[in-house]
Amino acid sequence: MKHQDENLSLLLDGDSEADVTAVLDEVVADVNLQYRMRRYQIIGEALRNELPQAIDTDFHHAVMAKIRQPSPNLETHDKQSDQVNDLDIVVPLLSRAWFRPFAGLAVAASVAVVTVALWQPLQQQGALPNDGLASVDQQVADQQKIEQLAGQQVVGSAVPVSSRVQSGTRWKLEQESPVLQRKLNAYLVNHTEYSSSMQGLIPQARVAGFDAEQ
Amino acid sequence: MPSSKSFLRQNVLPPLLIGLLISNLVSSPVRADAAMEWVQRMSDSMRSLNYRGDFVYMQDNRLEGMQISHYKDEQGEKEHLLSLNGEAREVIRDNQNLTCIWPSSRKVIVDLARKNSFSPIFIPDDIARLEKFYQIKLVGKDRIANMDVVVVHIDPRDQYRYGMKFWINEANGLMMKSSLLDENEQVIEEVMFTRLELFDGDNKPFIDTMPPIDDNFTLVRYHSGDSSETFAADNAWQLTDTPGGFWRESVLRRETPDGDSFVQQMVYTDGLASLSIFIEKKTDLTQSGVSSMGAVNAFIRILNEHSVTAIGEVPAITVRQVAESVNFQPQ
Repeated sequence: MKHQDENLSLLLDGDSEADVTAVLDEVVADVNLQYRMRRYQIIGEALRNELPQAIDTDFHHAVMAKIRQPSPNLETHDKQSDQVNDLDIVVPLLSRAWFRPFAGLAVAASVAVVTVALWQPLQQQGALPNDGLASVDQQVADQQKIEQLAGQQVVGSAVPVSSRVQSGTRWKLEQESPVLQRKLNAYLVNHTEYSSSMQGLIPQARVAGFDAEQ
Repeated sequence: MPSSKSFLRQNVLPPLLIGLLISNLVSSPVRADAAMEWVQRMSDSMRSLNYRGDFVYMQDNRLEGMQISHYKDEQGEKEHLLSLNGEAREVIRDNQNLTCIWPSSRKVIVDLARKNSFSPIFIPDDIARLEKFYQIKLVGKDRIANMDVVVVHIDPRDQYRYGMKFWINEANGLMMKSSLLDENEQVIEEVMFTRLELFDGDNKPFIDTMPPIDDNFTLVRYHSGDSSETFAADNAWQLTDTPGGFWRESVLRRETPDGDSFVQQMVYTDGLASLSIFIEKKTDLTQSGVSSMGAVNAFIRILNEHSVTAIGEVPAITVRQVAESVNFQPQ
């Protein structure tokens, strides 16, 4: 599995050392590898900010519903089998230390992008369980759906790619740096939360106005 | 026999002038108190009333339309902010969570909410102290979103803080407009309601109504829900020269996300304006220098292999002075 992953990663990275024919033969023969390949493509698009612009106005309702659940998914991830963990790479990649407070926006944003991206193939089929809080059984069922999906022919990337337009506000920097943009946003959120300034709605409006690409 | 003019000059005018002078001296604090009473009322209304409305937010010549819903019940306060332009960015806040959502970018952030962060209009306890650094006055009446308002101007006495203006609804005390002003009284940031309405507690807005769940996402719960994961402050980091009137309100120290090091946050305030200093180990990507976003300024410097960042809704000169006054003195 690890060897396949490395070969696949090399291929998608355009590495000249990758044995293209061998890797593609493996992909053709293995539906899980097909899905993994598609997943890597999506992750790449997420990291390059190439996810689609479609606006889902119900998005926050679902998020709030999840927040209200007393036992988040994270509590059960460690107990899942390898097969189930394959559904969601958050656990293999991240330790609990990542979920400590005060971490700021940067890490969370990137984690969210990757996590959401992995669910993209499922949402296209409308195949997720009713409340998004997948139990072990649900996750196994989802894994089966993934395998079904992986068996289908993959045409292009899993999500449409669109050009992105800057919206929202950004920091004026002496030297442009996405890392610094995220760092300052994180500081500003923490500052807004911990300070007692008397500026009406302006602090919240600032946060709501952040450019998502930061 | 003295003329009537001379009699008036010698016997009537002096006491009259003294009386007027005394009257003026007495009336100034009364006007400040009246202004603060309006600000107090505004603070109470913004936190206790149930309201929703649309407002515009102006920053750096950019205009953003936003929508807010706020209500309070036995569970506490809840507030929902939605950007009406471009991506439908949302900030949802309750007693536990601060959630920021960028739906089209599929980014979700959940952080701990703080008690004071709802419509953060904070009334300082020590108004007399505040008046050393600001002049607070009622400056008249106006009309915003078809509602009558009174205008309060909070004018700084030095260059280390911004001025503020509030337009306060006469009928219910809600803030209809607020501006942050630079030293030339030019507007740097501004919000203004174009529509605002009250609603009763039985008619809660959609922020408390969960529709059928759409599973287009996975939530990354970002904080543990436990705010006790704080550590003793590193007192080796101290400030030697803070601008007048600023005092340390709090200090926090927590682990960085990777658990390898710590970030220390020191919050300073003068009662109205505030800034934070963040200190953490510098990395290869750390840059020093100045940054700004609207009224918020930041100044980063490197000290003892750490990045020291002063950031807040204060002029650039203030964050620079504060950052440069940080020093490291091992205990």
